[in-house]
Amino acid sequence: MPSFDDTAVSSAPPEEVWKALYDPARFPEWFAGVERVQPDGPGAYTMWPEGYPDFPMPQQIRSSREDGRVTISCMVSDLIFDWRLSELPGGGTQVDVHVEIPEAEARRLEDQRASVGASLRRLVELVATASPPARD
Amino acid sequence: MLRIHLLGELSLEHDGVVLAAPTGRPARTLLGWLALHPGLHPRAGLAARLWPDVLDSSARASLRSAAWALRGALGPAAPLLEGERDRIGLRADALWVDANAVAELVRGGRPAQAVELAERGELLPGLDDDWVVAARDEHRDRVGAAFAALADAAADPALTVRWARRLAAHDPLAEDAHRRLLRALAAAGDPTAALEAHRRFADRLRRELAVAPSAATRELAEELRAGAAQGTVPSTPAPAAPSALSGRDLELAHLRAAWGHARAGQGRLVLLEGEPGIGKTRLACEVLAEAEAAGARTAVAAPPEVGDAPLALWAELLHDLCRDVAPAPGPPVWVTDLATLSPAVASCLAAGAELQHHAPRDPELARTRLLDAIAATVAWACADRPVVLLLDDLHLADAPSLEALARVARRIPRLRVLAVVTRRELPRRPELDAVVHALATRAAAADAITLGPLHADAVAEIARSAGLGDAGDVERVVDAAEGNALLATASARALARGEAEAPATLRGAVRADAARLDPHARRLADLLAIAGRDLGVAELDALGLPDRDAALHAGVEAGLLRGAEGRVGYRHALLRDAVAQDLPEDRRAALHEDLAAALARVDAWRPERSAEIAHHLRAAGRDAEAVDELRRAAAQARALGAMPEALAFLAEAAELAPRRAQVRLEYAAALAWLGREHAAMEQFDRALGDIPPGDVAARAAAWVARGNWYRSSLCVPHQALPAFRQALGEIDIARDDIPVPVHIQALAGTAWAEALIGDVDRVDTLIEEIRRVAGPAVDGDDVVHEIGHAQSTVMIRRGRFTESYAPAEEAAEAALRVGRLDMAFGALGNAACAAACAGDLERALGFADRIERAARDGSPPTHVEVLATRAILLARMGRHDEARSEIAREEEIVRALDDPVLEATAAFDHGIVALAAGEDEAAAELLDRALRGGAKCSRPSARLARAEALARLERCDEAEAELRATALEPVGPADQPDTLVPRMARLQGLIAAHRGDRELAARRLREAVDGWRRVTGGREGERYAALLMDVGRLPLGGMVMPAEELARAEHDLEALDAVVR
Repeated sequence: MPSFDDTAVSSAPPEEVWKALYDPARFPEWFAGVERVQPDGPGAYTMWPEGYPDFPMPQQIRSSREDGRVTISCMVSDLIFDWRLSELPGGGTQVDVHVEIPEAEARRLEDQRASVGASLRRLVELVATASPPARD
Repeated sequence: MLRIHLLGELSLEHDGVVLAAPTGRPARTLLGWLALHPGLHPRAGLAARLWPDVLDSSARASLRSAAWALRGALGPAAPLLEGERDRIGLRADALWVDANAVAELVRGGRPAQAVELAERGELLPGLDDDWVVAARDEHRDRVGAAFAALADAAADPALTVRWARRLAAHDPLAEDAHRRLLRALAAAGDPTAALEAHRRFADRLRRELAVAPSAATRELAEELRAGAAQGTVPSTPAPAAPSALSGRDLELAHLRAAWGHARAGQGRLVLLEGEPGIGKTRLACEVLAEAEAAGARTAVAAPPEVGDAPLALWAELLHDLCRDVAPAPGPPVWVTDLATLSPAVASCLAAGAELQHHAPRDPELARTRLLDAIAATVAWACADRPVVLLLDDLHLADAPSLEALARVARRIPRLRVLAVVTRRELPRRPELDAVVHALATRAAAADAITLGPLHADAVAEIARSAGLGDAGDVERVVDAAEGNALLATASARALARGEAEAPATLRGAVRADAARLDPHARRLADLLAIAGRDLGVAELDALGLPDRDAALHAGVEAGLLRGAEGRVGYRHALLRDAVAQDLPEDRRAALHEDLAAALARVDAWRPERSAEIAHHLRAAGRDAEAVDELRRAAAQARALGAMPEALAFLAEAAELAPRRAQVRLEYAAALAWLGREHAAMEQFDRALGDIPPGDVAARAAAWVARGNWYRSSLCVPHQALPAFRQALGEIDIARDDIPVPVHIQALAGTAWAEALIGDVDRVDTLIEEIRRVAGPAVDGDDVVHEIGHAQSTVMIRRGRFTESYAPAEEAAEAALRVGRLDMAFGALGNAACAAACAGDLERALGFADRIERAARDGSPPTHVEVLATRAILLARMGRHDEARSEIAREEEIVRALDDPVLEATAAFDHGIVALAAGEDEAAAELLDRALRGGAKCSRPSARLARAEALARLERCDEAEAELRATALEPVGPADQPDTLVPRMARLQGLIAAHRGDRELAARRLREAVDGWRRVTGGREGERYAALLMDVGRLPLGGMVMPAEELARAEHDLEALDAVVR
């Protein structure tokens, strides 16, 4: 299955990034291509892609722990996103994302790479803006 | 339900109403055969069997007439006599037959219940057809085996005699039974009664069969006669006196000191380590003998070297320990739990009372309860006198046995027990090291002693005690032995016999000793070598050894064997290994075959023997027969909660029988339970491929089995639902061919999964279908439970919590009627949580009270769970004193169980209760302890609760650190992920408020309020249904009520100014 990775650093602490990732209702604020989200209960939500108000898509969000790092997995359209958060020694959070796309969508790999990159950067900016300054 | 008594006078009963038994012989004959063989059978074959002496057409006509008469006699039960064009039979799922129940009880290791049921009388009296005679013989053998099992297992000699007399009376012409009675009477100290019994037996044989007793019986009688004349009672040969213990004064003093502590109530564990033959066991036996002479109770066991049956070591040890232990009043629940491992020991401890035992479906829970039962049994055994246990050669022990040792070891400091454990240095067993280390550091109750080579003086003493007088010979032994006691003994014996040189190796010495044995003694030695353990008298009898006692004497004289307490074996494992290694392959295979046959005859009632029998069958080249023994070994391992061991047995069975679908299905189930999903699917697909496409019943059963993997303690309805739907798809192809229980399971499983995660509207239709398919069995407890559970879950999922109570109560009552506390707990626990969701905390407490009343007689872990539920409910109701009282009870039980995870979980419960009561310091400390200890709880919830306590204490930095740690915890559905973000936001608001940052506090609290408003959308049912899937605990402790949380966040926002001021 075609895949790619990307990474970014946020000055915000891990819990701020975590809150954004775990709040599907806020996906439209940073997740490219997501127009509207309706939470459906624990770990489940329905997403409407940009430009497709009549096509609701039920999704799932999960997390697991490997090698001491938490991976949060979610699916948007048919793409699988694994987000990993690591607290940085001097403060801030490194956000890694691994994305897998279906074979049938392989031609969109580069477009998706650009889109996810943009989403990742909007995410780290959003949470940095929302976070208070670090305490000495 | 149609109940048929074939034992004694024929009688029938349908749903509690007595029916008149058919009077005509043909109808009675037909009823008898069909009752013994439930289900449909071809008419042609049946007619030929019941009327063998007439033409086929006449036989079929007779069958039709008999069936017509039988149908008339059955009256309202007539529909249970099913007839098709070519087949006829009684419906298996609506039938109970006493003779079949006896067989089930014997197979299930419940001989006491079997003989009680069999007492009613002879099977089908008055009928003398060939098939009846054969069936009667089988039944008699079966009941005889049950009597024999009871006699063997009896701890009290008088009880042994009682059962032996019952066996002899049951089969008055059987010589085996008669010899067993003679031995029992002699062992009970009454040789005169034994001789009188023999006289009567001989008279009966002469009168009825015109024959004399066999040579074996006559020889036994002669022995008894000679013993009675001398005033002694020879049964098995007297054990050879142990050689004097040399050169271990320091170690012996150490053991005696440990024994002194143990006698005073401060139990000890001593680990003796050293190379093979260095004298570990001899040293331990010296202390055992001293203790026994002083009135202590002792027991010895070693892991079997063949078979790999989990916990066989403890089955053997408890068998030895409890031979004279008084029954436990009640009996307590741990006796019932022990029956899974050793039905015989449990029966003795229960004084023969019927034990209603249902092993928990969850192997983890089964293992926990069994390990508790083993520890409780050891504690009971030292209630009236101190105990010394010898667990020998534990480097060979299986992992579950070492886990059991760890559980027992935790109690040792408080018991009058000295546990001596021996092992070789290799292979290393870190689990054993951990037990000794933990006991030494926690309670200073363990020591390890390494036995080094003996000093030359000690070896010389051994040589002289073996009969060597010449100083030169003694010196040669010292040189050859290199400080090893076993080699010293073997060398000294060789030289004492006049051999020119001391043997260069132990194997050489053993070869020489074995070569001097006569053929009978050699056969005994070879069988014991292949057996890999000591054999009991019954096992030796079953081997049919001629001149068995003389053979044993010869083996003892040769220095190879020993006999004690009715068991015979090698003096040392190295001697046994040496003899085994010298056996030629063809002879070895024949010995394995003989052993397998003997053990199967004698030990069928000892579950741990299946693995051993399988090993011998395989070694004899009888792979096909080994498969079913391996399956039985796997089933036993699963019942003991030893899943890796069960998997190993099934893997072996699947390899031997690659085309047997059922074997592969069981293998797949074990893989699924161990989380090896991919491998499980692969095996399942292979099994399905081996089931013919036309065998719809088998295919449906396979899919139902797969659905049940995920319906068990794994609780993965997403995986179960497609499997059950597939089963229903197969059933739709050929409904009439599907056994009713399979059909019901498919429907019930589908209903359960749909109720949890699927199409909830479909559940009512499924329930109606269950009722239709069940037919007359619809009121059976299993069906009532399934329906109630599904209905209750549907109501919860729909958020109609109060409507879930009644079906949950029905399900629970049905489960309790069949002794399934675990299922009742699930039903009532869900009702309690549903009531909490509905805000009816009093009602929730009522449900918890009902579980607690039942759980008091159940396992301690279940009782702990219930007390935790009550405590948390009371805390939410503001009844803090009562909540603390329940927590105290919970913690008292947990301390006695001495399980670190349970202790951590109890700390979590206590922390939640403390938080609710505003005891923030205590809450912070307890929740920290819970998280460090690996408590079974929602870790994100525990961290957020701790963060709240810390925030209230204005320990803001620590509170913030907890929030950060929360973000690094894995989150699953049971952690209620949609609630975590607003919870965290609220706590960030409190922290900011305490720090004086009003603007940030307000922003965070608004985040929280907005988040809670999104969450409160009428999805409480879905949320709770997701919690139900996370097994382990009732989720009450971590349950979050969004409406309440929203109110709290709004209140905090309003009170923000007051907090800042």
